Order: sequence, then structure tokens, then C-alpha cells
Amino acid sequence: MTAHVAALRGMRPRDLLQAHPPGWWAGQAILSAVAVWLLLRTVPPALAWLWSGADWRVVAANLRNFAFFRYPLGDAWRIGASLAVVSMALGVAAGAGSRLSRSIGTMLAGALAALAAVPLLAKPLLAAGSSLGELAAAFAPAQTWFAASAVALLAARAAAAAWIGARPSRRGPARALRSAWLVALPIVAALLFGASGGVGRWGGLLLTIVLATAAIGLSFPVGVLLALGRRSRLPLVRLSSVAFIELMRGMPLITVLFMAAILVPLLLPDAWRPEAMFRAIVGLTLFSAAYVAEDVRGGLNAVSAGQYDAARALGLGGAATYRLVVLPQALRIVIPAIVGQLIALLKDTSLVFVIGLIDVFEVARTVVSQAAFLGRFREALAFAALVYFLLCTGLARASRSLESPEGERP
Amino acid sequence: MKVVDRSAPPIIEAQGVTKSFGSFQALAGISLTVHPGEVVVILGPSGSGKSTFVRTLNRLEPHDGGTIVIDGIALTHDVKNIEAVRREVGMVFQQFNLFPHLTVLENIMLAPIHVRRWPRAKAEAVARELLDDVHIPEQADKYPGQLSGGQQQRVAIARALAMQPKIMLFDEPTSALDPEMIKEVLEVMQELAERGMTMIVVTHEVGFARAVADRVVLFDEGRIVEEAAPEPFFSDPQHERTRLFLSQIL
Repeated sequence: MTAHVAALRGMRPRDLLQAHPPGWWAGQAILSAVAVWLLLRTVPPALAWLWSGADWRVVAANLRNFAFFRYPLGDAWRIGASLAVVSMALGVAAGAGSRLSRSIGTMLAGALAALAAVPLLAKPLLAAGSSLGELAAAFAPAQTWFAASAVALLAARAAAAAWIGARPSRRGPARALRSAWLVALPIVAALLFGASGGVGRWGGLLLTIVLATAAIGLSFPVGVLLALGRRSRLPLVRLSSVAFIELMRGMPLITVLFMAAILVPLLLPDAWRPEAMFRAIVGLTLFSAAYVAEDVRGGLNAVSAGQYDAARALGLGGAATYRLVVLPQALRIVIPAIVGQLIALLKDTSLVFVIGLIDVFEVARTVVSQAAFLGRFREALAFAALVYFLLCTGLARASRSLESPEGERP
Repeated sequence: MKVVDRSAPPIIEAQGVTKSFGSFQALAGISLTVHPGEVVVILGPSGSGKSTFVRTLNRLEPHDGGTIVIDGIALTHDVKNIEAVRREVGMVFQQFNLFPHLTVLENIMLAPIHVRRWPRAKAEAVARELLDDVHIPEQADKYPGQLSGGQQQRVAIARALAMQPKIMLFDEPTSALDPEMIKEVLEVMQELAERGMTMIVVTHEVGFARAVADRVVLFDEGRIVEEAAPEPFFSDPQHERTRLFLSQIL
């Protein structure tokens, strides 16, 4: 189609008209007219609503609830500090040459800079008479954290790149730094869990991101193990893997979440009563792992028998064959599918309201029952939708760098 | 001209080896003895069991009956023995089977590092030396997909040699190659033979067999039909089946 359009582009108008029969041109005209009519019907009213129809004070007044809900206000700095630590780690990893960190880091740096700039829009927007100005002004308390995190990210990236560049042997140090964010995760956990009141108070975007990160991080290894279990020569391992995968894929997530909420406490000793958040992570992980396992299985099947022959002929054992030869190839094949799966998981976290958790989506549903903002569903839900959209689009774009591995040709 | 010492103990001793895939009998009792430094070329029509036999020698295929002893180690279900044999036996495949996600150098270094537990620096030094031996030192940092078939097969030979095997098995190493690349691979194999490597080569390259082999063996329907030095094998075959096969490929 693109080539077709390019071919049309160089033509004179008369030849262009003759390039297609009149019926084709009529069809094009009708389709274009319908599209224009639809856009005119929807876009201007939507923009007008955004600008003046909507009352964004419902979001502005509750921005803190959207961000972290009942996380203690006195501990809010911990979230800001976590953001800065993650930014710095991403910067270090990106500077050391990790392609995934580089693309996520670039995305995050841009987002942080934009967020830091949002409060600057408050005055002009208010002067122009839009309540968007109030929303913009509500970002002010976090402005310093956003700006500091953006600076931390870019500075760490530059420092790491310079440090690596100065090393005579570049491989070792680069490897060490690429996993910088693995060091950052325990720090972030310590920061976040240090707040008073326990995880029962976590909510909003904080909860959404914690749920998604934990479930994504855990479901990947669990899924790979399930996929390997499914090809095990031991019947017990194979059958239980198959049974688990089919069971999870045969149930809606909402059922899995309920079961995790009810079953996890039953299976554990009474002394451990895991918080609802951890039960949700278990449920989301198990559900997502089953789908990851099926994706990985496809990748394993795509690795030719000759690769196993070559590895065995070289004397590699079964575990080494999978770790060094088969899995690296299989995972590379299925990365696009798995990323899609993980983005779906991020959106699916919005179902955790069924076990009483208050994530971004549930905050949007909750705040409209406040007396001052009764019935302001549209604003609250539109804002929640925007948050999910930005997260998912950002993740999808950042993960594109994984799809073409470094230097490799098919 | 190298001389094979036939008084030395054999390095490969196969006795009455059988193998079936379902109801199809691939090997119907193969006995073959190979001495250190010998080059044995196996000829035969497709389906005659020659690939299967070579694959039983490092137990990529477990044999059903008979005995196989490699360098004094009996190939049985014992995993320790299998691993020991695989360290002594290198193998080169028709489809190269290089690891596409690793560079040429990493392909060669993988087994020495993870099986022989060599330090990285030593593995890399040996790998670069081997790339010199197969005449492609300049391709070290490319990925297999960026190389021609002939170059890939030479990398595969270097990868097998990196484990410093006593025996090299070649399973139709030139059958997947374009004609102009066959020569460069056969040259490398000939150099290897001249340095005294024990080799078993499944191939259709009669010129290679004449020039390099100490013995030529004809497989048919899972049996050895004829076994002789190249000169009598090609100019004066004793069996009707051999004459028929040679008339088809020459």
C-alpha cells in the first residue's frame, strides 16, 4: 500500500485520475466524507468538554488519592525518593548499554520532564478560564521530585557512559552496571515498606504499578518454568504443569483473584495472614504465568532439533543446553507475544477492586461519591483512562527495542 | 603420507550395533573398528543407516543392541560415560547447527567454558587459533547468519575442535552447501586428516574419499556391504551392490 501511494505521488493529476476507474474514486470520496463527518461529530465536542465543559476539580482535589490513595502523607517522600532511585538505576543501566533500559529511560526522562513542567501551565490555563488549570496546579507538590528524578536519570546515564568509556576492558563493567536496577529494587522496597500503616493503605497509581511490576516480574520466570515443566520427561511434572496451565487459562481472571484471596490464607499457616495486595500479586502472577508459559512453549517448539543435537554433541548437559542454547533463542522469538501479554496484565490489574483493593481505576470510582463532586464520573474515569493509556503505550513503545536483538540478523 | 598404526588399540570398536525406529530397522548389526589416526569414509544410499550409525557413536541416538566402545569407554545408559565420550568426540552436522544467537567466537568458546571449565581468556585464545586454522579469523565477531554456508561449516568444525576431541564425526558436512563452497570445507577436513585426526566421514564426495580416506565403507539397508581401501574400493569393488551404487554416483 505504501509503495502504491508512493507511485501515485509522482504522477500528474490527469494520469492520476486515470490510474483508477471512476468507481474507485467514488468509493474513496464516500469513505473520506464519512471519516470527516465522524471526526467533526466527535473531536470538537470532546475538546470543548475537556477545555470548559469538564470540571477537573474532582481530579485536582483528589490527585493525591489517584497517586497513592491512603499511603501516609508524611511518608509520601518515600514514593518520590523511590522514583528518583528507579530513575537513577535506569540511567546507569542505559549508560552502560542496556537497550531496554535505554528506551525505557528515554521514555521516562521525557515523561518526568513533562510532568515537572505541568504546573507551569496552571496560570495560563486558569487565565484562559479552563478548569484544566486547577488540575495542572495540583501537580505542584510533586514537581521537585519529577524534576529531580529526570535530572538524576540523565546525570546517571552520562556518568555511567563516561565511566564505562574510560575502562580498558569494557565488557565486565558494562555487564555489572546493566543490572543496576536489580540493586535499586531492594532499595525501593525498603523505602516503600518503611511507611507506617502497612501495605493495606497503599492504593492508586502506586498500587497499580507495584501490582503490575511484581506480577510481571514474577510471572515471567514462573511461566518459563511451567513451559519447561510441560516438556519434562517426568510424567508428574509434565501433567501438573499441563493441568495448572489449562486450569488458569480456563478461568476468568476475576475468578482467579477471588480464589487467590480466599485460598492463599487457607493454604498458609494462620500466623501469616498475607495482605490483600500480596494475594492479588499471587493471583495475577499465576494467571499471567499460564499465558506466558504457552507463549514460551511456542518459542521452544520453534528451536530446531539440530540445536539440541549440537549442544549435546559438545557435551552440554540438559540444564546447560536449555540455559545457554535453547531458552535464549526461544525467548527472543516470543518476546513480542510476551510483551503483549504483560501489557494486558498491566490493564488487568484494574480488576483487583473485586478483592477490596483501591487502584487507579477504583480511586476514580470512589472519588465521585464525595459530596463536592457527586456524579463527576466522566472526569474521574477519563483521567484514569489517560493514566492507563500512558502506561501501556509507554511500555509497548519501550519494549520495541527488545524485538530486534543487538547486531543479529535472522 | 601418514601411516596408521594398526597394532595400537582401536579407538572405536562397534560390534553388532542395531537400531530400530518403530518397525523400521535402521541398523541391522554394524561392526566397525577404527584405529587412532584413521580416516573412514562411509558411503551409501539415503536411508542406508550411515547417519544413524554415526549418531550412535556419541549417543545422539541410543543403540538397541550390540556394543560400542570409544577410547576404552563403553557407551551405555550410564550418563557419566556418555558425557565422557562426548568430550572425546566432536561432531559436524549437515545443517551446521551453529547457535544463531551467539557470535562466531562465542559459538566456539561455549563448550570449553561451560563443559571443560576453561577460563574465558584461554577459551578465547584457543578459539581464535582455531579460526585461523579454518581460514576465517576475520569473522570472529559476526553472527552465523551473516556468514556463507561454507564459512558456517568451517566455524562448526572449529567449534567441535575447540573441545580438543580425539575423534571427529562428519555427518554429510557438504551436502547442504553450494558447489563452490564445498571445496573450502573439504580442504579444511583434509588438513585435519593430515594432522592425524581420527575421522569418520559420511559423504558423497568420492574425490575426498579417494584422496583422504584410509578406508571406505559402503552401507546398505543397515549393513556394511563392502569395506576396503579407497583404491580397490573404487577400481575393483567386490560386490554387485557396490558396483551398482558407484555407477549411480560416479
